[in-house]
Amino acid sequence: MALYGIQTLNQMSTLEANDMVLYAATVSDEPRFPYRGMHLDVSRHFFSVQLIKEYLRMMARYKMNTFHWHLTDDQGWRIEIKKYPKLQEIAAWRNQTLKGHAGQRKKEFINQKYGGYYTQEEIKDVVQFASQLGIEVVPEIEMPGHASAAVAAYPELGCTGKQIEVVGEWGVFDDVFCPSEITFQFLQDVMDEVIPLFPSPYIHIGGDECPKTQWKNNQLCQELIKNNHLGDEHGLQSYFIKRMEKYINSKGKKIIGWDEILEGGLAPNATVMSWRGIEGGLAAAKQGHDVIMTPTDFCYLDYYQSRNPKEPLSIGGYLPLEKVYSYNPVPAELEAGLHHHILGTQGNVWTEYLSTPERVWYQVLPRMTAMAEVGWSAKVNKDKEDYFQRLQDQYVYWKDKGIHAADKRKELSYNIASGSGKGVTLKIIPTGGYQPILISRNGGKAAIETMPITIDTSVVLEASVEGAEAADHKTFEFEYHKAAGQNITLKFPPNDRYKAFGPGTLVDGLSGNIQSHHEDWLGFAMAEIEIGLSLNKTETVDTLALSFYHSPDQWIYAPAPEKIGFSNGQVRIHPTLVERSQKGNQHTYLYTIEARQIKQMNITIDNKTTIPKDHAGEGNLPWVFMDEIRLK
Amino acid sequence: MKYFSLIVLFSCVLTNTATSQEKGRQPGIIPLPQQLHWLGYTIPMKNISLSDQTAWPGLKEMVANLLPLTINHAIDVEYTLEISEEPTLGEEAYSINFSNRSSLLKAGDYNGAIWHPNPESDVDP
Repeated sequence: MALYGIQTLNQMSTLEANDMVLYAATVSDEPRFPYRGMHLDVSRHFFSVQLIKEYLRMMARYKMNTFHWHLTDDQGWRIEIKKYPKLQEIAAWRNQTLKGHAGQRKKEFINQKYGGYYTQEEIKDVVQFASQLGIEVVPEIEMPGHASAAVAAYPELGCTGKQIEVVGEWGVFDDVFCPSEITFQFLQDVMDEVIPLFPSPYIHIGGDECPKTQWKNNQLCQELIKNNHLGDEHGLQSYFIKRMEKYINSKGKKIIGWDEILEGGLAPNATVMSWRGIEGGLAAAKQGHDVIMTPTDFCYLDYYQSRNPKEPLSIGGYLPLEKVYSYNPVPAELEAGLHHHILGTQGNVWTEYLSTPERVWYQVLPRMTAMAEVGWSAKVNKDKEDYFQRLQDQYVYWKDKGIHAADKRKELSYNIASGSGKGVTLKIIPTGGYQPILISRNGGKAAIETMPITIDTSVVLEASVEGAEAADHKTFEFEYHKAAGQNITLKFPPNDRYKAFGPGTLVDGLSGNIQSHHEDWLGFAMAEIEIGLSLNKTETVDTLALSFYHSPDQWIYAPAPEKIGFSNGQVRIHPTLVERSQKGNQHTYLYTIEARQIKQMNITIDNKTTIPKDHAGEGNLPWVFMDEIRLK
Repeated sequence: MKYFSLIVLFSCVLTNTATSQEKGRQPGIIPLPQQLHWLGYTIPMKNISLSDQTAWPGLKEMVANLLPLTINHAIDVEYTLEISEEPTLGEEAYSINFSNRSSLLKAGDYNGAIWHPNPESDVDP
C-alpha cells in the first residue's frame, strides 16, 4: 500500500547538522500479519475526538491497520444510539469515580459527574479519518457482561429490573444483560444503528467477564437453559452470543469476541480475541476459527512498564518494552497447517487508571512501536538491540510532537543466580541496550564492570549507564550472610507469576522491595510452604531472620510466628523469636539460635487459614510473599 | 486490486554527500521493513517538512514540498524516487526505489502534481 511507503519515507528523513535530509534507500516491504491492532477503552475514561485522531495518526505512522474502539462498558456508554436516548442521558454519565487503586481496602471517590459520548456524526468523522490513514475501525459493544451502564439507563435490560447507577469504580459487576426478548430487541436495534457507521466487516461483541450470579437466580434464564438444553449458564452465554452473531451475520458483518465466547460452545463464524493467555487462541484455531492474539502477558499496555516506584499508578502487572518486543503471536504449540488462523495481534489499552491523554501516551509509547514491529516485521529480522537503536529517532519525533513517552532506555534490569550452593552472581541488563554498565561499589567512583558480578561479601552496588538520570540508577544492597548462595529447595514451587529468580531468591543476599511485592519476593498461594536450606558445611549460627511482605489490601499476609516451624532435617528445633520489625510492607522476624551448629534447616509455614471477615478477599486463602532467609 | 504507482521526481545535490554520511547515521525505521538497503547518500531537504499525514492531501503536500529542491539547488544529478504498490506480494505491500532516471523528466517539467493514482498511469512501475 503506497500509504505505507509514505510512512517509511517520512521515517527515512532525519535532522543532520540542523538540516533535514532524506536518506536514500530501496525498500521492499509487506506485513507479517494482516491484523495489526491497537485498542482504546473510552468507557472507563472518555477521550476527545482530537485524541482519537492523534492516536490514529500514531498508529498509521507505525503501519497499524485496525483500531479497536471499546465504546461501551459498566462505567459509561459512549456511542449515540438515537432510538435509545437514555443511553446518552443516563448511561454516558457517572456520578463518581474511584480515587486510587481498586485493590485498596478503603475506597474513596471523586464525587463529580463524569462522562460523555460520541455523536454518530463524530463517529463517522473518525471512521473517515481512519480510512484515509489506512485504518479500519472495529467498534466494541459489550455483551452480555460489562453492561451496567446500559442497564442503569434501561433497568428492564437486566435480570432484576432494579434501578442501578452507572458504575464509578473498576472491576466486574453482576448487573449484566438478561437474555430476554427485550434485551435482544434492544441489542438488535443498537446494531442497526452501529453497523452502518462502520465499514469494517467486524463488530466486536465483547463476551468477556460475565458473572452468572443473576442468571442463576433468574427464572427466565433457568427456563431458557432447560428448554434449550443449554446445560448451564455458560451454555446460556453461548446461546446469547450465537443469537447475536446470527443477527450480525444477517447484516453482512462478522463478530469478534474475547476468548470467553469459547465457553459453552463457539459461535459458528466468530473470530476470537485471545486475552487470558494463548489457550483460547489455540483452542479457537484448532476449531478452524480465526484468532487475534492479545494475551495480557505481552499485549496489555495498561500494565506497568517499569518497576520504578515513581511510576504513575497503573492497574498492576509488569510488561516492559523488551517483553512486548519479544512476543511471537503464533504459538509454538500450533501446528503449521493452522497458522493462517492467526490474523495478527493487538495492543490493549484499558483506561481505569489513564484519565488524561498524557497518561494514555505514557502507557502506549514506546510499547506501541514494539507491538507494531511484532505485527509487521518478519520474525527472522527481529533484533532487539537494533530495535532499541531505531527507537532513538522515535523519541525525537515524539518530543517534537509534545508527547511525553515513557523513556526506560537507561533503566536497568537484572538476574541473580543463587541457591545452588555455588554462591551468588549478579547480571545487570541494560533495558535499552546502552553499554557499558558502570558500577560504583560502596559509594566509590563508578567504573566499567563486566557481567556477571560475583557477590562474595556485603556490598552496596550502584549500577548505571552513561548519562542516566539518578532515578534510573539501580542500587543493590547485598548483605552477605551464612545462607547466601547456599542450596535451597522448595517442596512446592511459588506461583508462576511471583517466582522472582527462583528458589535462590530466598538466599541471594538481597531483601525484597519494601514497597512492591513484585520484586525479589516469592509468592505462594498454598496451604503449606516447605523450604529446605542446605549449607555447604556446618556453620555456627547465632541468629536467623525471615522476611515477609504484608499487604492485606492485596490479600498478602505475613504468617503468624506460631505458624512457622523449624527442623534440622531430623528433629524440630526451636529458635527464639526476639524481635518483630516492620519496614514499609516488609515484616521481619528475628530469632536467636543458641550455639547451634547448622548444616541443614527446614522451614515450614502453615498457611491453612482464610482472610478474615471485612478484609479484601475475605474467605480466601491468603498469599504468602517471602524473601530473604538470613543466617548469621 | 487497485494498481498504484507514485513517482516523485526531483534532483538533488550530491556534493557533500560523503560528509553527511560520516556525520550522521541512518534513521531508525519502525516497524523494520522486510528488505531495506541504504544507498549511501542523502538528499538535503532544507526548509522542507514532510507531513506525517498519510492521507492523499498530505501526500500531495509532501510532493509539493519536495519540488522546490529542484529549483533551489544546482543540479548535479537527477534522481527518481518511486513508491509503488506491490500487488503480487500482497494487499499491503509496497516498495521504494531511488534511481538515476534523469532521462525520464527534466527539472523544468516538475511544476504541478506528478502522481498517478489510476491504472491508466503511463508510468512504468
